[in-house]
Amino acid sequence: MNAAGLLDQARRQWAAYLSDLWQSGDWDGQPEDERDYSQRNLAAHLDEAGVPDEQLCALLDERWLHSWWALEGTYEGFLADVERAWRRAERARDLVAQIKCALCAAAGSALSANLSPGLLASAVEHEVLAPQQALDIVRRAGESNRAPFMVALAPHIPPRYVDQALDVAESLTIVYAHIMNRNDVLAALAPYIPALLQARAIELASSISSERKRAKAIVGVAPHVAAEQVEFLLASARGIQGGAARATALSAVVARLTGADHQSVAREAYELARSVDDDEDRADALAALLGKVRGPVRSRVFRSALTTARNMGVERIASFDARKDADLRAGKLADLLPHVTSVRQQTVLASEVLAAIQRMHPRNRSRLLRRAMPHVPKHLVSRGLGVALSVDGGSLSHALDAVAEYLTPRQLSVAIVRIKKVRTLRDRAEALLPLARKATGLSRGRLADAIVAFGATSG
Amino acid sequence: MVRDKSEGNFMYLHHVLPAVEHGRYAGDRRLELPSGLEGYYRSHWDSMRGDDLDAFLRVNQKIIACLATAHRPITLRFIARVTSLTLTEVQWTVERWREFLHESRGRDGPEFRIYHASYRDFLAELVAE
Repeated sequence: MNAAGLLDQARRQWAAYLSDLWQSGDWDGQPEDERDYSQRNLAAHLDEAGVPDEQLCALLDERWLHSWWALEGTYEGFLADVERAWRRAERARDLVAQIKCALCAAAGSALSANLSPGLLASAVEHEVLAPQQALDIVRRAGESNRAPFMVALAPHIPPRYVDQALDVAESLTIVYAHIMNRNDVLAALAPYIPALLQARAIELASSISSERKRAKAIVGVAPHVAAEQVEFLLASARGIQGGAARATALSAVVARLTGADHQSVAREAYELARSVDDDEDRADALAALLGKVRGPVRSRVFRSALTTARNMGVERIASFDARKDADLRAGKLADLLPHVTSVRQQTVLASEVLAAIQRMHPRNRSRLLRRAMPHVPKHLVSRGLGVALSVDGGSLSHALDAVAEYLTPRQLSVAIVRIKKVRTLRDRAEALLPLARKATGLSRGRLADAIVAFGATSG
Repeated sequence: MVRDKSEGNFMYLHHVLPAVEHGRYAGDRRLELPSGLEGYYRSHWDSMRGDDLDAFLRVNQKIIACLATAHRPITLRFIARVTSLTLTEVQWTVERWREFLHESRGRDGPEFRIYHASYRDFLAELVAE
């Protein structure tokens, strides 16, 4: 009998067996399940058997890298092995081994970096990658890439992996102005978070340092949490300091409340929203609330939102970027169109929106026209067409595309007369496309033939 | 009596009740019931060791230790390869230790792992002979 533990002896046996197999060249000749086990656990068995650092580091070569790729189609397993060896080298203060590990990690990461969020999601959707592998990739990505990866992956994460996805959300601590952040990840995950993990999601949302991003996270999560979590979400929304952000967050929670609670929080959100200093933020906060509020407060919210949108920019110096203010005003008015409740109100507001769009820079008109047209009453469609036809050649096709669906045959004829006056054949053809699709239902290829013929005969 | 011996551990009942049912502790032999879960593990281990010491040292303990240090359920064929024993020897050992093992269906047939972490803890305390 010797003093070695029974399991220590077994660990050495595992390490020796797998190590010999790797060196013998018979690695790929193993039965599939054993090959899988051996690849995933050789480094762990070497580590557990207490082999010298050099032996563990020696494993991290190109052959091992390719062997991981052959098994998984990623280098994530290789990187995990590098991490294991690296931790050991750090503990042993082995500088040479640490440098080797750093180089291996850089190579593996560089090879993994070619992945886009869409491709990663697609790989999981089509079972090329397991959710666990994809999550490992996300975890290893730099912080600025982690959120876009996680957002793309969210619909493909099975419930039992959601806690890991929330770990990824928790790891996002820096607030980037123009790219995705923790709030985007939480909003993307929200529909898939099991009831047991919702409290954690709310906690993560509540701990976002930026007030605006915290409000966005609450907006994203609110529609999906269980009824018993709503009070926590409300407390979190009330903890936001900025008026506009707090009003937006409260608006999201309002939609989940009923009866007296709904009315009370709606009034609270309304008072906050209408007292926001910046007119653009005020308009956004009121429009957000308008979409959620019911009952007596609603008409007050609508009136305030309308007044704010109409007066957008008037307190600013008239010469200061007046065109931008006109665009902004039109946009905020258009935001209110889906919320009107009477035919008269719809007529008044739609006329106002169309006039505001007409005053916008021609290049920006189509985008807003597209948003407004579904809410424009039939008798005002001709005015919508008028706005579309006021746009110049190159942008005319986009403007017509926004209105084509609502045109009568007579209005289509009016548009065609205008199109005939467009100077270049290309712009003329482009402008005809949306009308032709509406009129004939032909395929794009057939339409293009018809349009070229039209151009040749009308030119 | 069983309540005292089990020390409130459900796993004790999981092992001992079938053993009682199979007559291993038949009659008025309450003193032979092992104390606690570890006592039960020890009694089984010693009993197997006593049956055939040579086979126990050369075959059984190697196979059980191999299973206890595997990172996931593995096939009997794989155990045979790692321990350099025959498939028959592995099958024979697994049969004798069945109550401590969990069987599941793998890609290439049945796979085995240690049923409960407490048994692995028990094995971790043993010295190789």
